[in-house]
Amino acid sequence: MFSSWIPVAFLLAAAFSLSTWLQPWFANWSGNRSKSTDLLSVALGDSRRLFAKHFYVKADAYFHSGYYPTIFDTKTDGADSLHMSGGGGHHDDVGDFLGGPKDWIDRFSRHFYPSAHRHLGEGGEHHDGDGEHDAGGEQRELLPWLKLSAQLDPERPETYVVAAYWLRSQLNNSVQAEQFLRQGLQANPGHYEILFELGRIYDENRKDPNRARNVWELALKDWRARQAAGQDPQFLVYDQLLGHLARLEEQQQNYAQALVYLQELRTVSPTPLSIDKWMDELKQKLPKQ
Amino acid sequence: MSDIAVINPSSVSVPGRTAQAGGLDSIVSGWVNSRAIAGLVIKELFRRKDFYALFVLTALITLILGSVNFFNEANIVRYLKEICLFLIWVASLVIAITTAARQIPAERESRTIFPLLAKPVTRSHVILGKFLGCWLAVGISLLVFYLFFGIVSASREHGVPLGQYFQAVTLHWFMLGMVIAMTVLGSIVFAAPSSNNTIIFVISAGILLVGRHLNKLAVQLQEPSQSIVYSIYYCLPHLELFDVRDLVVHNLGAIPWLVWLGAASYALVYAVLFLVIACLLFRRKALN
Repeated sequence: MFSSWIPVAFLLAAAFSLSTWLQPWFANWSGNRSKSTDLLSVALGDSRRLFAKHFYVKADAYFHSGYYPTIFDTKTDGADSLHMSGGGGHHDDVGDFLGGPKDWIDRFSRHFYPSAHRHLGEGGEHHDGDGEHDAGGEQRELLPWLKLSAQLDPERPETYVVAAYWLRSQLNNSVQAEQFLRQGLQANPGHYEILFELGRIYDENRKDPNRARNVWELALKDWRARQAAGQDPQFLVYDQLLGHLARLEEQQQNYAQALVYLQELRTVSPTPLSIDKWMDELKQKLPKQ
Repeated sequence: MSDIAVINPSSVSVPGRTAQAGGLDSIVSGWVNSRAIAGLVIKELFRRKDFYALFVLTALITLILGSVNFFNEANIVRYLKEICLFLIWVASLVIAITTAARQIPAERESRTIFPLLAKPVTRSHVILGKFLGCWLAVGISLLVFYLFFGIVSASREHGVPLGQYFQAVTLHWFMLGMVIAMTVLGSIVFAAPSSNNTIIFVISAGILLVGRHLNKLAVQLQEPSQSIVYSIYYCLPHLELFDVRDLVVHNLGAIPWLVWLGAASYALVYAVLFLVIACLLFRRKALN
């Protein structure tokens, strides 16, 4: 009876000895997920970035009310995030990817999924109009996917920017927008895109030009540092930063400083003639100072 | 399962009746027999725990996700509708396929098929009864699932587009009719319910995911692959036609009723086709 427990005791001792040997190695191993306190990181590892991208795209699909290309559709190359964030004007990145019906099944099947382009908040009903809904504030429907995307991949600045854009511009919730951007700044310290959006909250919602200027100047500094480091930062944001700073300085009657920004903006702007015109107007104001 | 006393004993043909009356009688008795077998299947589904477990799981996940606060914004509902509908689709497919796949093999394994067929019940009646039972049972389950979905949706949207929800439920039900008929056919062809389950799951998921895009894939291929893929595209039952979840989630309104009727007819044609093949195969199948 007693002898039958000896192998069990031996195996337990062996398991204990091996664990004392393996534990220090495991604690220092770079692939050890238990270092993270975040449950999602532990469960998903680096694959969470893939899911984050998926949920970000999902938010964009919601913005287009489900009218969105699949991997089987040819999609025109566009900047989805900019479209969703309203920063890219009204260019149509999704376009008519469906084209004409290819056969009778294709024609028939288009009744069963969103086959006409419509943006969130534009209102209007397809089909026979059953089920009226208030289109105002529909943009809130993007937020769960963006929040989830940010939780899965906190180092993706555009997620914070897009969510904050809709929160402050359409949902009048600049407090939550600022909080979310600050979360983004914790994960991406000093990132120019997040700082630019934060500056817009101070400028447009809080009417606090001094804080807006400080934040935008920090953003400009970060953009230049990234450009110098060869990280290829977005020129569109640089363009917008300079434009906003120039306008702010003009409003504050710091025309000389506004001209400095405009001079820089002229070199990157797709419409230099309009910048020249703006600069001429400011130059006329300069002697009055 | 042994409760087959309900099966119509008056279906034995009476000499002297006209051929027309005899034909009508056989249809009526066939319907009565199939309905009796269907009743047993429905009772069986609700005696088992599958439906309850899946419903509780769906409700629990939906309610937990519904309690999450996103930026203090009330009335965010579309993500919840999407997740709830996805869970309903998965649960209904699981219930439909697993229920239909075990019907004939279980009767054969427990040898209750012999007393069942000793009554004035033909093999076609058994197939039809099993199909009807599974389809009706799944329909009842769908009603419960969609009632829950409607309550969740109405609690945030303050309105229920009844026409659209009716179309969503019925199209879903017709799609499941095709799947159940396919599974019943599979239970005649494949040896074990497990292999039938797996194969029908793979086929259904494959059609739902890529069925709509096979024509786009075909045009990129060379002959003869192009013709083969196109043939598959035209022959397979397009289950994805019945998936109106995106229209429901994005409040895009109901589809025209004539289109709805066309889709229902399309499903019935495929379901009947699978059942006819199943009946033909089952007639020649050795039961022991």
